[in-house]
Amino acid sequence: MNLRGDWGLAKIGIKVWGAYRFEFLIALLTTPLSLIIYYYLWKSIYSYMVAEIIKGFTFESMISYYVLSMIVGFFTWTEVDKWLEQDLIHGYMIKGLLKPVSFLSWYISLEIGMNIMNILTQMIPVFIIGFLFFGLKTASPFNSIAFAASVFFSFFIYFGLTYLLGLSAFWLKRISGIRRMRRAVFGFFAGSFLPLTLFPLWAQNIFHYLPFEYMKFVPITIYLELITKQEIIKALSIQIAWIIVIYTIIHLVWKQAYKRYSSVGL
Amino acid sequence: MKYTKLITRCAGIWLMRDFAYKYDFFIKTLAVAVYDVLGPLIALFIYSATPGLPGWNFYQFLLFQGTLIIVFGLGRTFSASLAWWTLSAIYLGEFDQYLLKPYPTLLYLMALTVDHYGLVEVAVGTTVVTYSATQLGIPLLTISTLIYIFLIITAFFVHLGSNIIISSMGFLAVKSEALLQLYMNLMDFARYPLNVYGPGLRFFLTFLFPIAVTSFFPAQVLLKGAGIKMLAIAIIPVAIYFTISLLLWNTAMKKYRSAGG
Amino acid sequence: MPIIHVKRLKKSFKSYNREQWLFEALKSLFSIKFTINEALKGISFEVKEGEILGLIGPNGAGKSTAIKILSGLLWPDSGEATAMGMIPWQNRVKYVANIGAVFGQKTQMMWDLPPIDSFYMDKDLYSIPEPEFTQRFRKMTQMLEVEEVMKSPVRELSLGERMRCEIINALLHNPPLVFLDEPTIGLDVIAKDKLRDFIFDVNKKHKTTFIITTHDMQDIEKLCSRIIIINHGTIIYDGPLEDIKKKYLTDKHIEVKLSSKPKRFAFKGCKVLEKQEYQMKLEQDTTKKPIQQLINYLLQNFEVADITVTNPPIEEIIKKIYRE
Repeated sequence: MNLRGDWGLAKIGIKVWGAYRFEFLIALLTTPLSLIIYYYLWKSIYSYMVAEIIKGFTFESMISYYVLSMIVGFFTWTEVDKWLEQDLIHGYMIKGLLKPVSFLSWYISLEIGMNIMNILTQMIPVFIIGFLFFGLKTASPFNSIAFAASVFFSFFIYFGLTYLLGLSAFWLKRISGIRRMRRAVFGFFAGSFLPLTLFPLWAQNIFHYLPFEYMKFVPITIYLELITKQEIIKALSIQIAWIIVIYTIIHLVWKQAYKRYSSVGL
Repeated sequence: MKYTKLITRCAGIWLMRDFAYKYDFFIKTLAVAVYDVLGPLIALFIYSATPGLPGWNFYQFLLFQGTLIIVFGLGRTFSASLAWWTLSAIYLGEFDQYLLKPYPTLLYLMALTVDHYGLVEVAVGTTVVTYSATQLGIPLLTISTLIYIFLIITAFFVHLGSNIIISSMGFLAVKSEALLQLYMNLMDFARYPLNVYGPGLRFFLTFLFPIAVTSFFPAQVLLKGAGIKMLAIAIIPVAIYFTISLLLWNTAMKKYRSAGG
Repeated sequence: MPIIHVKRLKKSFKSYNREQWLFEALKSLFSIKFTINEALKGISFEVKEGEILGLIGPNGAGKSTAIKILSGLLWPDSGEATAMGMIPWQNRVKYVANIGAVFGQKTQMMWDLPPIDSFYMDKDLYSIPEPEFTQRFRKMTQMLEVEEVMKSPVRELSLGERMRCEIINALLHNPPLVFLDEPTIGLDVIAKDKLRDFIFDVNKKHKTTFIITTHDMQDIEKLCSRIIIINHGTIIYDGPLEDIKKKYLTDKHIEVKLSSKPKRFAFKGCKVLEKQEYQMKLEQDTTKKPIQQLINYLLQNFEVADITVTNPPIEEIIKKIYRE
């Protein structure tokens, strides 16, 4: 990878984002709506209880959880599986192959460019909305930095797994089913809809050995200071380990996919 | 009669197209079902960690969720892609072709946008409702069930009406993708019972954007029986909402056919 | 028997200056700016049953507006029109069942589906009886040579194949009146010929009335018995093509490619438009001397590598009409 080339690609990503800016701005205006829903849902659940804490979450931290879930979501958002599928169907693959960079870094730079704009235009506003209206508190400097690092790693895990699933398009051609399943499964097991601590214990134990919780749940718990410093260090190392594993697998699968591409022609 | 023929023709065509990629077809069917099961699963986790929502025990809430899935499924089958389809036709300047067919344009578009995957949702929802009703000891062959079905069909018209409103706005104003996004976000308010929300929102969800009828009122009918007043509150706003949507559509068509898009 | 009457048909469009940015969009809410563009300034004409009428004129002259009004899509501002005894823009559903229409660039078939699926949809929409449908479908796909592509998605078809399917799509219900907006645009010579033969054939066999807009002089020469020239929303010529030909199509353009450098020459009625190292563009006034003689002259006096004769574009004919 050379850095100057990648920055050039990221700039393309920013341009692509420019074309979609309207959609993103709408998302910004409408997504706080789902925070309102979660706010009322948990308010009525907490008011119906005697205890004030559910599995480590106070009402305030529960709402903060959803604000943060949204923020991490903006950062990790990707549709690279769709891009892969569309590029294969419409025969644009060749364009990507002709670029003087590896295929993966072409997509990844595009994605980073888009997400940089996402961060500026959505993540920061949602942070502000969270602080003003949903009782989000600032985290300690250590946790803030660890959160930022963890979210950064989350992006690579999320992107890597999505890319890996997207590569199946080389064999299946149409992967709209896989994409839909990906959204459901990733969302659910990463903790987008419900903190994973509310899941049954046996499930939580299994989750520790899967990459999903490192795509969203773990960074959030870091921010909310629900885990200790040692656990944070451990979590970050596991994230790095997952990244290494996932990108090694991508490398291997890509070789096969490329072989298939050049032999079948698709 | 002609409409039934058309809609089965379209469904058949889409089914054959999707079936050409068998793996994708099966995975997509499965994915739709999995997505629907997530709601009840989340409900189960919430209820096992907390006493749950005030006024709703687990099976009652499950019945509520199942109802929601059925209505979403109906909406998806017969109307969910209508707005998107119309907006992109306007955007691409390809709307004329729908006016050239000897058939009411709205019905033709509805037939074209039929989505068979919605039927998977209807099936999942029906299973969830039947299961929870059995657990609650609610007999299923009563007048209440008939009213329940009637309300579910009423609820479908909220989805259809919303899609018609968004489509119409596509002719009257530019960039109404914003409305589509807003509608999808607002629909999520139906995921939890009305009594969860504050009075202002409750009013909004019952009378202005009558999405409460897509889950709350039908579930109430099965759980607590139907009263005239409750049925009136459930049905009249939908009738008004749907009428407004049709009026808007006619205005939009008039504008399109006099200004040429 | 006229199938279409049009009287003093007027249509104008308001075009708003739409703003992209929020601030400007808000500003425009208060001061609505628009320009009025008169697309049709009161045109009148009649079309006989079984006629092939060419509607020609430069872009933005009002051809498409006229076709859209007559096919029931648009409401006019004022004026009258009847077609087959109906007013096109009233009772749309009943009217469009009796017409066929192809709007050049925009497909009426579903992009992701093979043409045959769109045809079956039309079978339902127009209630075409099964035996008729099958018979016509077979005949038309055979004549236009598109049997092989019936099962590939429309988006994978070549422009020529798509256009031919488009025509079938418009004719399957055997309408007595058909509108074709630029049916040959972008097609190669062979595809154009196939399409023209087919249209001519349908016209002869079923007495189908066609109204065709085109930029292609050859379409007009091969198909249309009568033409209407529209410019700036008014009809500037309405009559048989022969008259126009005699009066205005007297000039031919000749492009000659040479294998040696051209020398000076003089030929009666011939004007040199352009001269390059190995090629020339000439214009011959055929009232002074026929084109054949010029070609013979060129072949005898030059080392000709290639020679093509074309008609001047429609725009030039219109300019000439205006000059009178």
